[in-house]
Amino acid sequence: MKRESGGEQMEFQGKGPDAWTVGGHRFSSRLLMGTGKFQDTETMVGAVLASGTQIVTVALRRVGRNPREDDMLGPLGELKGITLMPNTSGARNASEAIRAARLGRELCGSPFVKVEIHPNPHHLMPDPIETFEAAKVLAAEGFVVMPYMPADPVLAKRLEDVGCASLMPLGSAIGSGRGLATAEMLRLILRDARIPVIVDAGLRSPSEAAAALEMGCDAVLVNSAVAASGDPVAMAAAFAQAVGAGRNAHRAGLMPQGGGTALATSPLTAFLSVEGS
Amino acid sequence: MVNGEAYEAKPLESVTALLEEMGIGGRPVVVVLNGEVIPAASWNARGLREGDRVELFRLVGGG
Amino acid sequence: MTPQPRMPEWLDPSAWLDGKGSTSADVERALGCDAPGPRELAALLSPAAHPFTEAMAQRARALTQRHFGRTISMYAPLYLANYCTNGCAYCGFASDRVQPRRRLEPPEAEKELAMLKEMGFEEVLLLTGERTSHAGFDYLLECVSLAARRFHAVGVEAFPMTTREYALLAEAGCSGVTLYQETYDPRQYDRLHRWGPKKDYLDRLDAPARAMEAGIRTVGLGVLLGLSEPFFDAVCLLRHAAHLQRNHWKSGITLSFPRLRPQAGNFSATFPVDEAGLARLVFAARIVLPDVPLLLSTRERPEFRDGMAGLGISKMSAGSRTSVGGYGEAEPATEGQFQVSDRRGVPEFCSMLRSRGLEPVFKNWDSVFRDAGGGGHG
Repeated sequence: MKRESGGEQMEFQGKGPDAWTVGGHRFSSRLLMGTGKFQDTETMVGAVLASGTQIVTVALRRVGRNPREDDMLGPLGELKGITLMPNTSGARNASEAIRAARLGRELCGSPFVKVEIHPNPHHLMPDPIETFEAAKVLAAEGFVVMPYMPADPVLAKRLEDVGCASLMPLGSAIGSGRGLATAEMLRLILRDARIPVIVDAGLRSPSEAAAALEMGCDAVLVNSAVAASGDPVAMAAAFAQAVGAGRNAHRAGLMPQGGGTALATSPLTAFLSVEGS
Repeated sequence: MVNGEAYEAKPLESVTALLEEMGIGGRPVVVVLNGEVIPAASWNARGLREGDRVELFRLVGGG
Repeated sequence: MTPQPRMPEWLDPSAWLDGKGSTSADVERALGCDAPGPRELAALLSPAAHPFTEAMAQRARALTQRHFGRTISMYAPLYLANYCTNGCAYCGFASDRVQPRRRLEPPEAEKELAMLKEMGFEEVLLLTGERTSHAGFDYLLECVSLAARRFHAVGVEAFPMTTREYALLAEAGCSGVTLYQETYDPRQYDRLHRWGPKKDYLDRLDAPARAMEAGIRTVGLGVLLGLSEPFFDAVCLLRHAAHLQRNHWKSGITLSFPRLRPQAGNFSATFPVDEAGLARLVFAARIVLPDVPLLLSTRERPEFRDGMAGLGISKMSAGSRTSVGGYGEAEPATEGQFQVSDRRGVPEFCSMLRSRGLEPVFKNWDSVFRDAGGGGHG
């Protein structure tokens, strides 16, 4: 048993390979990683590697007067099999997000963009209207649009309709660590979604990530849960294992919940006759 | 003007030269000159004049 | 032999057909499932589910109460015309059946509609046979306009139309389109639809989607039980419903389970379904699609309808006439499309519902809020 191998997702014993597709691109890892809040680049890169992730979000900032800060793109760009996904975090409205997306594409060379628009700097909840507007424009420009969104089933279909490549509903507020507070909404979104559903924000523990996958989500994105943990590299590996376990469980089919219906004293079906016609 | 701050410089031949002078040279940035994104391939050819507004962006960590 | 159309991938039930061999454990698993799908439906329709009929009924009732309250939506069918060019082996209106053919002229239709309003109905379903020169699209459109002036919800059950035609109907105030595939088995479908435009399996299959695209708010799907293997048709019906819900999220669907009963011509069911089978199908549909309205018509006998009301079934007709018009006449001028087994009038039927703790609801939607056309009357 390879317990020490960080990032390796356990092979599913039963059915075949389990890749997922978004925006026409195929991925095997169902764990996406954010790169913010880490103490240093080295830890961040270590965690990314340990997670086995293939999609990593990054943000854009202006180059300072004295550009001696760490360069993100270098170390990340050197890793094989990683797709960089700029987020538009910092944008407070659609036009700012659209601008950020275009800059991000120029810098990363990747058509992926995570549309993230949170005008309120405290709870950081995504603005549904600005997000929709930005997604519409960017999808038309050929971006692979992954919108960070409130877990709203109707908004989900509207974003699908305008050409988003996936949905990224929040589990709970960014950094709150409240897990899958939106579970019931996520179920509704999953029921009718035609594009991948990636739970993003609010996850704190690997078990929550597993639960998201068990529920039927296609992937999860974690950032704070790893960066702010005691040992980010180890935690990243733990998340990878949890995502694999959750996915395997979903494919295997969970046993039914207990609590069967107690039969009423007078049966409801007494009226059914035996006669044929 | 670079990133909103006045920048004193000798007249520069190209965007590339500006980046060199700022100590960025070689590191990945996006250059926006007077609101227009300048692709890296054009940096050498693009000259700068008095009053130009330059914005430079790079990648940082984010969720 | 006409070449068989291929079932589209989204409809193909092959992956779940082995569900007929489900075990009791599978049925229990299905009953306990959080988000049941085709696999669970298959288990609930398998022979192994027979001993679980009561448990399914309990579950169906709980879900119906949760999503529909203790209410039954009421509607009335109005046959506008019985002209038809199709040769459906099972139908009383088939073109080779000899019977008086007529259509309601607009003033007659007005009279019938007025009668239905008198009876308390606010939702009417307008029916015709296949598109004919006597009763085609224009005629139907005119009748929809007439009905929309008086009724809060107007549905049509007629023939497959183009997206453009459905859009015109919607503009005129049509809020629902009912179109049963009858059977999803392409071979049986071809055999039973001996001639006429209805022979086109794929065009009919695609029509509900066209209606939704055109802005029709609700589409009614169904299969005529007895035509084909009920297990097969039920799984397909569910697949069809799921496909429409995924691709047309702003529209709603309803399901109906008409069962072949004796009619003019005496076609007997190749795969007869007994009452218990129909009941289990309704329960299973309710369990797997908790928020979809399920309909039961007056084809079924009174005691069965009484029992099923609220046990999955959320919408019913009453006092129905299945001959052309018929509400204003003592003796119908034409033969009915099918034989009505529950002949109770509306007051008696509603009284039965109330005695069982169910409230009949005649109006669920106020046409005053409707968008273009429609002529809401407040």
